[in-house]
Amino acid sequence: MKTYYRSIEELETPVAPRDANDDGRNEVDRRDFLKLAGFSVAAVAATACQRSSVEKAIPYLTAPEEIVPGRAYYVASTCHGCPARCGILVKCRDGRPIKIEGNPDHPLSRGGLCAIGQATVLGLYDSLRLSGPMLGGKPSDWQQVDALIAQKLSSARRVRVLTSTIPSPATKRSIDAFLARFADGKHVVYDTLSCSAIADAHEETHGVRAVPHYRFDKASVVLSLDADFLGTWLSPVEFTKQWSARRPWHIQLEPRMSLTGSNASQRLRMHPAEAGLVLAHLAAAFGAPFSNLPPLPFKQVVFDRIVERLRAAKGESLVVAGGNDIEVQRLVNFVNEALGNYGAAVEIGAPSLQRQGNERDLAALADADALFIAGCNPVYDLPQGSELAKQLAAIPLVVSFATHADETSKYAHAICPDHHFLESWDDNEPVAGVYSVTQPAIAPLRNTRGVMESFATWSGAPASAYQQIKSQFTGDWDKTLQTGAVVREVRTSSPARTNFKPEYGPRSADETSASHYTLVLYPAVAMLDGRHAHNAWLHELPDPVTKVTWDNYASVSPATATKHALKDGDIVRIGDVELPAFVQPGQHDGVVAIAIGYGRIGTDRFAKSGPKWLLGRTWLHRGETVGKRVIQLANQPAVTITKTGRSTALASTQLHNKAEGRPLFGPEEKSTAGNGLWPVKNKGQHQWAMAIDLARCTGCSACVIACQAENNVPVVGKDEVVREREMHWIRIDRYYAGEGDDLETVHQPVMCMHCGNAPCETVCPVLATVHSSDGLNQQVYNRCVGTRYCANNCPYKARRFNWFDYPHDDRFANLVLNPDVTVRSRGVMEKCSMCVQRIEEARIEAKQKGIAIPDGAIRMACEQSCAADAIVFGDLNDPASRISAARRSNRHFRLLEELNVQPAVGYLALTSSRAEGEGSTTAPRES
Amino acid sequence: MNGRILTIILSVAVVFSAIALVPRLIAMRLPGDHSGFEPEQPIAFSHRLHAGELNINCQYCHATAQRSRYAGIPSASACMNCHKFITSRRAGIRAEEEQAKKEHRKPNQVIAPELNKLYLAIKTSTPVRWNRIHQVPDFVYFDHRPHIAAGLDCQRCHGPVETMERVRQVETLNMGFCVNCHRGRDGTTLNGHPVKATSDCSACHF
Repeated sequence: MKTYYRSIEELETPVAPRDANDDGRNEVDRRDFLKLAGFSVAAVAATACQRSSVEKAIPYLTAPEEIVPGRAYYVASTCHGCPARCGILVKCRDGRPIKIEGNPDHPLSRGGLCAIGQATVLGLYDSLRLSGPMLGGKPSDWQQVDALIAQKLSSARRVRVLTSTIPSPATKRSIDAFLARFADGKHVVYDTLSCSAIADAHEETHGVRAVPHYRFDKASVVLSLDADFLGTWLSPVEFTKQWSARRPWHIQLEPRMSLTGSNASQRLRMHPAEAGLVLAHLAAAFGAPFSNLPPLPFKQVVFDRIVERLRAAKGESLVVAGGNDIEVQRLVNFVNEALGNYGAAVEIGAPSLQRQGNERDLAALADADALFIAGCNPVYDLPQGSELAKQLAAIPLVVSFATHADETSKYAHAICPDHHFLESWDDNEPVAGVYSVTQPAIAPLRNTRGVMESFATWSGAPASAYQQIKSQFTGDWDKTLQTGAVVREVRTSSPARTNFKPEYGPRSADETSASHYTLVLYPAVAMLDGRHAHNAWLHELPDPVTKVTWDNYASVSPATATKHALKDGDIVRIGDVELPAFVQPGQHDGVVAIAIGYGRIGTDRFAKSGPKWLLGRTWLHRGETVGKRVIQLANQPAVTITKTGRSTALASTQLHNKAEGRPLFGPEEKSTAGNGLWPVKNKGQHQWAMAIDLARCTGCSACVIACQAENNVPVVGKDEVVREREMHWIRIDRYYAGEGDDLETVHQPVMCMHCGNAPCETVCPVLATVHSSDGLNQQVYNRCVGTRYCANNCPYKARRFNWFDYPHDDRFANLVLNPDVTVRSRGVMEKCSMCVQRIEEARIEAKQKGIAIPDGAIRMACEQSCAADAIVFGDLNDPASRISAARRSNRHFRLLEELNVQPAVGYLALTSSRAEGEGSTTAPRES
Repeated sequence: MNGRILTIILSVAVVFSAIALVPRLIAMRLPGDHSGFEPEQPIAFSHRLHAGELNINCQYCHATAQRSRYAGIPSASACMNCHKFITSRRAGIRAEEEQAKKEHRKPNQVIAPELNKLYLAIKTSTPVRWNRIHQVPDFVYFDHRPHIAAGLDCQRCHGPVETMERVRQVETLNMGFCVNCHRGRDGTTLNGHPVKATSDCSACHF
């Protein structure tokens, strides 16, 4: 049997129960106790005399047709969280968006939505969003700003518009129309998460400068060289949907542990400089005229099997590489062509438009007369940001469209803040032919103006965004608004294949000497390039792999950690940046990996998040940032690790909620002996249950944020996370087995199991947690007195206690609260309710119609967002339901089955497509 | 001696405070019980006239009771469905017509003072701020829809509103009130059948 472990620490000391407060600093002495007791008495005395006041009921003067007070309605729109542009349904209550769900009718995302997409709704209610245009750092109005820009533009010749990828045809049209007025106008596009080498390689080989549209649903064998396509690369939701439905034989070669690597059938560590070498060998195997190649960095037998698999799956395989190295991408194109993947899994005729950047164009910014910066933050997110800042100071007119005061807008003469995408009209074409509309779900909350409206104004032809989109639209407008997206025929002039001459010049692989490490900068799943740095939900989301919140850190391999005597949290100096170290199993020994996207100015706002109390530690001071900016190190080929001797606490949740040494993960056969204290009552009309397919789950954590948004789960701040008091109702346990190249990773979402013989119910002295007739374990907040007996007795550690009231640090964010779910107060236990508000809604609706609740009519928040379709919820009393089918599967198992608590939540065991004899399978394949 | 004076003082104090507290003790009710609550409203709207005398269906105005958790308070535009034309009681209009006949002039439009408040609200775009009467605590998710679908009379919880000039809360609307009916203990019947509704906590608390 394999040993599963959550961290190195746990592997070395298997059962290490850690008390929340035992780090020595936090002992409550007699004086503190008396102080606390005194305050508590005073607080009780002060609050006991309140009487609820009379509420006002204020009806509309003229009721809008679509709004029924108390009833949700949905607006089909498009997510602008990243350039992937997934389809969304915005759930609105009483005229305001409260939740974002995936749009099942969208041809790419097909109902899935990632953690970032889910969290963007919080950004709408951000009080730090600029309230209106700014001129010279002072609030101004649109007339003055427009007048100044018009005046400065009258003499401008070299005008530049600098953006990240804009997948919006209408916005691009407005920019082009604007630039056409000038003698030398140019639209410069760059991406921090760049794929420009892929586009460049296709320009050479296919004559089209474009990133192909990858189709993982058409590949049964996938070879990925450091492309984190399930996490951050191009279009993660679409890829996850396709990949998990097919679950191809997938081999990942990568230097750091990515989300994609953690899900691969096989994963090998690879130095970033070795990608070209591996591909050259591969190209040689498929006919490239290479000879005298340096030896492979891994065993020939492994390589032979990759070749064999790829050859067997000709026309049905896919090779992708994440690096931004044209030589590597040329080889990738060669191999894909040799395998006949073009036209199948690699679609270049209708390419992806999600990365259009070309970093070479950045040179055109020099000596500009006017510069307009939209949708990016170049001073922060370009490696050469500080040099660019100097350039900006010399440009006569710099206009920023930033929604927050950011690193770049500091240098702007005028800031013309853009709308939040939930407030604006826009159109999108993420993949050629796939057209979707962004519709506003609420009127702009601030005095902002859309980018394309601003450009239209300065072009002298003011038009609203709606007019600009509608005027160019052909087709059924109303239907497009209703479904959110439309697929159009793309006239593909099949690109000429001109040049498939692969080149490979061996690199000097000795860049990494014994004391030097190659720096790998990667986008974190929640933060990407830093554009969501103002989102508290995303900061508190445990990273899918490392489980660290509220920080970036320098990941090193266990061997490197031993060499430098590093443990988690030890502060190291890398280049000019000091960061906590993090020991990451499965990482290449020659690299240090750090997430970009942290260290944004303005993140000191989160100093306010979390409770203020006697023993609370200030973890963020004014002027500090959450994490550190590291992108400036991108041009350093090799770095050293210097230990500073200091250390800090990383808010990692990976060892939280341990089940006191009981193995939470494991589908092994177990006997269920004995009965529960109370008989399992199955008297209800329904028997709700859930099954999670571990073979589909990638651990992407979208469900965690979906649950947070749906159920008003608070943000507690870093200090409370360190104290193991995070409040997420659903956590994703991540287990490792093995080490190095044999490292296997398992992601397992755990929430309240809704046990039939619930141990929590028997110990509650006030019956605040009881069983419902339809199989749910109910938590009644208004009865709970906070003894926490239930949490102690929960074998899965799925209960969360409100140690404090956790109000939003930003009061404006209260508008995002779901009015259908109680906001829990201090001293109350809470846990997954199985989205009982959704069950009730469906029950009432079915009752009104006089029908039975159809299978699939109730979708849990986690289930709805799951891009991998790993979660199934339904009624066990209905033998035809999806959940009943899952229960019948021979892969079905339940956690800690031997306790006989009869959980309603079950799992479908992980099947592994690892090669026979190589590695091992976790469970037998489903026959 | 001292002890005696102290005893007397204390006894007097106890008696006085008892006298002061007695009315409160008599009127004492459980927290959250607001039965009898009858606040004055910004417009003296008469349910007796509309629901009683004119026999307008409850859901004509409280139209979302069927579609939403909340029965809803009608928007001013819903009032205007009728009050665009009906500006006063008929008696007032008649009197003005007769007066006009006598004085050989065209009758003036008669606007009842309470209705004028509604017209003013629309004219100035200021929604009417009604005082909410029937209210359950925030941790209770009462939903009108299943109760209406089950065929329950509005009066079962809201009392004889059609007889009230100003609406008053009749029932306690506490949990006992709900649960007794859900369990069929209080004799309420639906179409001749006893009530059998869910008594799961999560029917109302989530």
